Amino acid sequence: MKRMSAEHQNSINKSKEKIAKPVLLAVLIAFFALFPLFVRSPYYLHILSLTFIYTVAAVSLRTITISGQFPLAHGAFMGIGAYLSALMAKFWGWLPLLCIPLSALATAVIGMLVGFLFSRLRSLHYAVGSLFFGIGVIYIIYAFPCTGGYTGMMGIPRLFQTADKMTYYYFFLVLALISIVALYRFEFSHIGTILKAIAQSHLVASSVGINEAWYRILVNGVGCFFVGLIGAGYAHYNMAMSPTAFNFMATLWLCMYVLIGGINSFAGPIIGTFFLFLLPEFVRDLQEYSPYFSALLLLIVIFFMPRGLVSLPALLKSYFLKRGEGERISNVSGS
Amino acid sequence: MGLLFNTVINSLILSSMYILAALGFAFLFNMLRIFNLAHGAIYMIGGYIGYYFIVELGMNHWLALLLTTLLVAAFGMFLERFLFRRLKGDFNLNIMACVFVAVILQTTVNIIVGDKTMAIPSFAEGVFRTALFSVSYERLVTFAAGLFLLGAIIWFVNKTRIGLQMQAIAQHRDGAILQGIDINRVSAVAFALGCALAAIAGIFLGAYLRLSPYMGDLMLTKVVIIFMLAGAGSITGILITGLILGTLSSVLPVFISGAASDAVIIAIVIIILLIRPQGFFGYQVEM
Amino acid sequence: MKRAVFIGMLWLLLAFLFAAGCAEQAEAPEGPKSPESSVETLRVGGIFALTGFWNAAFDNSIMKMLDEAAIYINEHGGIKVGDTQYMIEIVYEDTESNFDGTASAANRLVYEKEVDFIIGPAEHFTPAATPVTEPAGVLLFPGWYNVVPDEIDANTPYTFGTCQGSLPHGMAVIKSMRRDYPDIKKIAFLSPDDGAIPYIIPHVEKVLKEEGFEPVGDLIPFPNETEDFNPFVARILDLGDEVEAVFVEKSPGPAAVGNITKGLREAGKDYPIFCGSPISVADIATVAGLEAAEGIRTPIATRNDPEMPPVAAELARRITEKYGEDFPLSYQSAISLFVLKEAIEAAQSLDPTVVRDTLESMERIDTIYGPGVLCGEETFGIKHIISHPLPVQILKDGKPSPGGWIEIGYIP
Repeated sequence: MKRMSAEHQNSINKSKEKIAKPVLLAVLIAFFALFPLFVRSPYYLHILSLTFIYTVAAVSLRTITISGQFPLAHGAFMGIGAYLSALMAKFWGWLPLLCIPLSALATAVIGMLVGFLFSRLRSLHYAVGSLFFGIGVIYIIYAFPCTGGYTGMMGIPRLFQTADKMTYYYFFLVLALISIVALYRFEFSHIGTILKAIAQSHLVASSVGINEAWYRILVNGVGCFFVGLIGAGYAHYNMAMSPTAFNFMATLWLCMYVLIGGINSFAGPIIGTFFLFLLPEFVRDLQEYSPYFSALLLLIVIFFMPRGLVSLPALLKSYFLKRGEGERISNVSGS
Repeated sequence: MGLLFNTVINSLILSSMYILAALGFAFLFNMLRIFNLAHGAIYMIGGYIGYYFIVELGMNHWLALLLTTLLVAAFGMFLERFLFRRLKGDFNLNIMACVFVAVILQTTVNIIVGDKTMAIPSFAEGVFRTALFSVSYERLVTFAAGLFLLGAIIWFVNKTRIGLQMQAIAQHRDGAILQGIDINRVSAVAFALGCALAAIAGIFLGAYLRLSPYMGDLMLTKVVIIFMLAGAGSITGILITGLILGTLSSVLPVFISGAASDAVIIAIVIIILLIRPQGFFGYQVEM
Repeated sequence: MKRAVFIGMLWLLLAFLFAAGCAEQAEAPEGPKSPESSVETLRVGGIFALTGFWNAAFDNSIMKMLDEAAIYINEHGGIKVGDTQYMIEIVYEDTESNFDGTASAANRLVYEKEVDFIIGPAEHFTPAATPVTEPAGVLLFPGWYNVVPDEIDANTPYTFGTCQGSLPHGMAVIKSMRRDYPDIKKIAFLSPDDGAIPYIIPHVEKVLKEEGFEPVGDLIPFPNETEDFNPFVARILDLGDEVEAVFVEKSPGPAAVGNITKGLREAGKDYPIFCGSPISVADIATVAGLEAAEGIRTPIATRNDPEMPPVAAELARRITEKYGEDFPLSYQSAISLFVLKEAIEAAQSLDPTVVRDTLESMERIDTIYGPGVLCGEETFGIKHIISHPLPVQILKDGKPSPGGWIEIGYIP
């Protein structure tokens, strides 16, 4: 009897969760969709647009990591997408809306080529190999005069005719939603399962007939496609960019967004970006002291939420539950 | 002839400093599997502390070098005891901790001294001239000090008890622990040594080039390149790859114009890594 | 124990966020003041690198001088429009030494702080700010220009090169070299490989030719992030004994020109070296050593220069009092602020469009560096450049000494 009720309770909890998650998602999406109607300040729309951009970059970075490889060139791939699209639009005069998907495809191809080249490398060797590739991309951008070199590229055509921030806000919101949904479907598809199997043991995976090198190349292509897409959008939104936005430090902060949110959960990079990207903007008034806040957030996560910010609700729950239990026990022993 | 000799001396000095910094990085990775992204920041802070001792307090250069080394080594032990030991070898958390340390150090230095142009005065004044070539005493002193320190490190690792314990841990961590090696003590020494080596490189290059709060970022990439080419677990490999990188980065810009020379260096590094993923002398790291 | 630390940390974080919020709120009510008084506040935006590489390289000294300029203007009655006196308050935002940060700073100034006039950014960050300021109709007076396309051109009608950029600074130091060394012909020519080479070098080469200098061999480009300059010293030495002087067109901070000087002196060469970046020669001497840097010249103002115009001299006196003898005098953005004052007073309006039209219609304008002219249609495609005289500094007997003022004249 007792057991049955427990099971019943369990199923209620599960069905609660089943309802709660979509409701939460719908509320969040509605919040962001209606946000410009309440907050008219273009500054906040600009900051949120940038947050959407980096969210997609962080989520696509995590998608590559589910195959057990940790690329340190993701910022550089964002730069590849951005520079390709900007060059096409600026020098060939193509429509930016056409350049963005084209450069995303090109980035995916380059990503797969790099994945193919580096398919022999694993774990740390892969990470550092891609790190060197990322540094190389920046030096190549420096070396070619058409990219504007160190000074940066400017005069990139605008995405739309208007400079109105709301248009761009909705564009990036929709682009981010599409990308995140696509990456979510990818992760929980058949291929995603295979990738997770490869991450656990590439030897076992290949022994059951999985062409693990091919799948690792594929996931590189998928991740790079989306980061190229969002990078190209970024280029036509900002209209000017310099290679420093895509260098090793930029990649490292992307990794921090993923790690601080929680690398083992799909929502991790999204939450991580919203915290770690928005925090410095909120404390902008403190000027040169603002990096301390990012560092503080890192420290808190390191010590108290080693599984990332996504584990915060569970941690709080267990913390309060434990305290309640502790009190009860002490009451019992006291009486 | 003078040109050739100068280029050779220059590449040797750069190499010796790169090697010192890379050795510190390698100690931490080989023993504790910590990919120390804060190494560049510690190198930078070493330079600034040295500057403070030499210029602000007017100390003798060598005394300042000794004090800075001790101070930064103590800082390394502090980091190990209160930050890294608590993370129990979790790779991702270690990376985050390194970024934390780097951000704190860089921001603090930027706030305190950011606007000033600083360079540590030369270790030795004057120029040594012969008919064929001329080279400043500063370069010779830097080079000699680099060589001496390298010798000392190699002696320490191969001949002292704690150095041998370090090698044992680098080869097989669990096996070493089973033999009764106190891993905490050895890690503390490794941290102290790693940070101290970075600081020494920071002081010498701060005198040879100049100081800037962001000089660590460039050094970090060079250190990672040297370490990966040498391979995990190898100490002597670093001597050779450091020499290769120092030579490349001081010779290539003479022949290739502008930013392209950096691209060529990194291309060479990638090709070597593709041919020998484990580096010249290392083993494949499984994590 | 661990739990207590956790709770403490949370409280700490909350306290920080609260403090940050308070700081913002405390600032907010200052904007609108009671309309009866005839003294009001004019907020002027300032986009500078408060963090990152460029803060150390240039921006810190530029900002300090801009602060002094604002105090000076306020002491002398502020900006007068009709009967109202406007006191200047400069609102700084951080570029973080990158394009992203510059764009965010511009957005924040334009939309959050709602300023109509922005001074800065210095260096090459202007193109990240103009896509924000132009559509909003905010006047932008950058602290530097590199003469590259899309920086200041026909598409940026609200942007003015109010202080001189890289080309005029280069011209100043070249002309001063010619005046002091009439016999030198052959020079070695270096420039940072920063993407501006295809655009600015032809202009500089033209000036060199006009003044009778002749570069030996090709231009020697060095990467912007170079640490070790010995390979480039080797390339200068490789040019042979023909070389009579070395010209570094631009230097990202004192390190580049300082290390080149150090290397050349070590090799026993005692050419005159001149650099087109406004870097204090004292800073170069810090990197290169006092003896080695002797005779080096850069286009920057010097303390106690008898030729210095009175307002600039007063600002220099105040900076020296506050920050000491070694602090560089970077007037770039201070000049912009005084130009803004002149333009607003001439227009008798605070509407940026009216101020712009007035500024465009002015042929000459007085700057704190002396009389300036509006020019630049041919080179920039828009007549938005204010050209004024520039000072040159030389390291003589281990001390920064004035090297005279150079008339730049009309830039076509």
